[in-house]
Amino acid sequence: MILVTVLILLPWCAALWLSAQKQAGQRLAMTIALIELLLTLILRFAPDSMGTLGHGLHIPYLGGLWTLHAGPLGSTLALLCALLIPVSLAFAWRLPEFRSLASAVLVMAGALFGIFYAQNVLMFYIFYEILALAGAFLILRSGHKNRAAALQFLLYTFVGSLLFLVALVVVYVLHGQQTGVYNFSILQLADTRISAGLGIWLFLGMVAGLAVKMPLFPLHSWAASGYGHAAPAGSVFLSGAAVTAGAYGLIHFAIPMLPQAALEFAPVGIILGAIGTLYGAFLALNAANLRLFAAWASVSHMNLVALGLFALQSQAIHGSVFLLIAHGVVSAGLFGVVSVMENRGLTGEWAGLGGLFRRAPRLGAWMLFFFLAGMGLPGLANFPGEFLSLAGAFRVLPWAAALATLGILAGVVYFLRAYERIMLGPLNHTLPETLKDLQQGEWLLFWVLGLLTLWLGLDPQVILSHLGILLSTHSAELIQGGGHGV
Amino acid sequence: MAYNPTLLPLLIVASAALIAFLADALTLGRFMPWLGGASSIAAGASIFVEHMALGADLYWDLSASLLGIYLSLAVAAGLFFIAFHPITRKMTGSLVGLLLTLLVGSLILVSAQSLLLLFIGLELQVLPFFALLAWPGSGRAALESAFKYALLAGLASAQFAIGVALIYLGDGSLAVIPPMGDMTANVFGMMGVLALLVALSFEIAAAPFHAWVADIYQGAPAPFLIFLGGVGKVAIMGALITLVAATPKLEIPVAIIAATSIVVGNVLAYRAGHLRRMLGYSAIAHAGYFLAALAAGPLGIIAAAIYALVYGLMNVGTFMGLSALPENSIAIPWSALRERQPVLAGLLGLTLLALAGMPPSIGFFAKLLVIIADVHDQAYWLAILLALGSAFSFAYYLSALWKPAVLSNPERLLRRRSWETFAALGIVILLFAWLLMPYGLS
Repeated sequence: MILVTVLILLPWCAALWLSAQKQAGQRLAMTIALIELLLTLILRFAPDSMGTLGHGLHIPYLGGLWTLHAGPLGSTLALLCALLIPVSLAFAWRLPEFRSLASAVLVMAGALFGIFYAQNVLMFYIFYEILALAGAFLILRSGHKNRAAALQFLLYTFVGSLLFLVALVVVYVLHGQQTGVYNFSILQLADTRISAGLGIWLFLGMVAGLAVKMPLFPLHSWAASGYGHAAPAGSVFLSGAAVTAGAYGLIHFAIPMLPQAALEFAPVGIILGAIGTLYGAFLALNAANLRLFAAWASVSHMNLVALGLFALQSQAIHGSVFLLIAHGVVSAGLFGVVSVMENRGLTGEWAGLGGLFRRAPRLGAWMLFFFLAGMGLPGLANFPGEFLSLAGAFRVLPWAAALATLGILAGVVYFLRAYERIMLGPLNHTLPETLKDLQQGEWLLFWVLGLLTLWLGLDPQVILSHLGILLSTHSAELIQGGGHGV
Repeated sequence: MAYNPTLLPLLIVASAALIAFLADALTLGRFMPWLGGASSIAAGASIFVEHMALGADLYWDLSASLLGIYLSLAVAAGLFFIAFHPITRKMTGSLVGLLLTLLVGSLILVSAQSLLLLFIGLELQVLPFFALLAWPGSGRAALESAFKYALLAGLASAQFAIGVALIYLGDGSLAVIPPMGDMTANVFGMMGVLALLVALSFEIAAAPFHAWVADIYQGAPAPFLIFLGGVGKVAIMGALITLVAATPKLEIPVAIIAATSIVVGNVLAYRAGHLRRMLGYSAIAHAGYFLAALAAGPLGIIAAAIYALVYGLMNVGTFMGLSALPENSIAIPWSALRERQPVLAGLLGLTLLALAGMPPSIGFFAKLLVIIADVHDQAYWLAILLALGSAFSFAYYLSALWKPAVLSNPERLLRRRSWETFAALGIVILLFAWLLMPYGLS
């Protein structure tokens, strides 16, 4: 309990401290990030160290607002998130806006840890909102400092999450009327009896709030302007870690609360995911610059995650959770490459690129590596996740899964085409004469991300073997009884 | 006359007001804010003691004592705060006297159980504003806004008087809860109650009776808007709570006014483009959220009382922050403000977020209670409208936070050490006051 409380509050205190300082404070931010990584490692691999589950901040009618619990899924995602904090900070190391970027990332990290360890749904919601606000702040204060993009991100997420809140309150009031216990704890709310007609509306409300963060297909359009305008180092965190909050909310809160409605919504969810995968791929094919390219590639993969989730089938959910984690690492690599290029003064517009491999072969090699991972090359991180999601979804709704497979195929095309535009071909004359290749620190970062990608790809059992326990604790009945089967 | 304990808070404040009016003649004006603040705190304490006491026409029930204590403390805080503001240099005694009169009116409004007392309370709290909004030392815009306020508030008072007359015509009683049935027993009563609702909606600027609010917020001196938004409106909300709690039939018109206010307020605020006007228009939306709670039955009454309280707190915070800025600023010069008054700048930023409903500030918990009350009453459409409205409100509140504004001469920002303490206290209240919620409800 104390350990998790420290985990959540420490980055917030650090962010507060940073925003009050005049100097940049890289060392402090990085120290905090590494402490957080250590804490999440402890919590993931020695869950007993968490101690007793406390019910802090008990408020009548709302339940214990600071009630924490550690599930394997939450701890694993927290570990991913904690890994991405130092990565993101390191990519941002020399940016002039490091201070605001670091405080936004740290606030987001604290909120994410809160999300992953929350047992009270209202607490989850509060952290979810803080995450959105900090994300908007990140878009506002880094990169192009575009206010419109930040506002768009904020409006999308807040409209969605307030609809989530209304749906949640309906479940809460129904539960209170049925049992006399008014409490926002997920353990209580998960046993509410809800009529089918109302349930589907409530589930739609929850999907509006949670899927917007993933981002699922019709709610995805903030992603282009958000990732496109934030500094790529910030997008590392935004696309790798922040999006997992939506998926986690669906798996952990929305589906267990409304299993029947989830099952009814499943075909729609699968179709939306499939369309999103394909559509994201086409947009990536057509992207105007490198940032947007990485953004759409991430959207396409996240829609595949959604497809796997909504298939509500054991194999597909395994694949989808795996892909969620793999996407975090690979996306960090992609945006990391973009960040490295922008640090060297390259704009990322296609017109200013070409033949870069000759100038920076190491960068070119790592870019190829992450592009191959993004394509879903077997042996790299994305492949097991993509394969399992699709294999599961084929059993439920074959034609939609086929559509999504086309999206994967398109992925091969757009990644190779982008690589050709950036690295291959004749040397672009507008490139600066002296272009530094990767330096020590950057090299180390890519090695860390690259080894992780390779490890996840070669030995997916590292995560998959735990998912059995992990999903059974969340929604065993759902998957074995009510869902689409094993 | 027998001693009536429920009158004690009123007597304390009223006698302090009299002393304050006399003080100018004795050139003791500069002590008056402290005396006034102390008497307000004493009034708050006596309400705490009188909690649930039923007097002749006053009843300190749950919502009345909650709001009464809040109003007294808010006036005290406001008086201590403006004691350091240059606008109080002239005629300090009269100024404090007027503000205490306002408090007397407000306390009557929240606790009165008789229509006549409600009317007296309304007049007592409206009349001081005529003078306050055009206080010597403020500009032409303030004069204009005072004139507009006088005209429109006069109209609202007249409407209220007509309503009282009609209800009296209907059942021959001036009690809010008449001996037989409720006030809407016959057609006159019905019309009268509607007239009361309209008059009070006018005062809290609910749409479609909102036309005055932006002009006043733009023109009036910021220190007095602490009292207009944080005390005056809250007291009117208290009167509305009494009225609707006694007359459940009003819930439908209240729901309609609430929905209109939420839509109109948000749209107008988004298009305002001027900081003060934006706050004025968003006050319409907040009146709408308050009424949305009021339309939701018995649970809604509690939610409405808490919403009124929280709304008042947020207003006090906002206008305390704005008091440091020059009167005619159309955006907040954040960098200059942060340099000169860092904590106050923090408070201002936090209140903007709280007004938008950002968790974990009390603004969020107040809205959450309103949503719970609406859902509980099966008014799903109001809950959804409220959710959409407050999501939309982030667009303009955050624009106010983000918009880069440069002040040509930073020296024009007031700089007061003591305000930082207020601001720190305000930040703590806005962030953590919801922890006290369980104690307030019992």
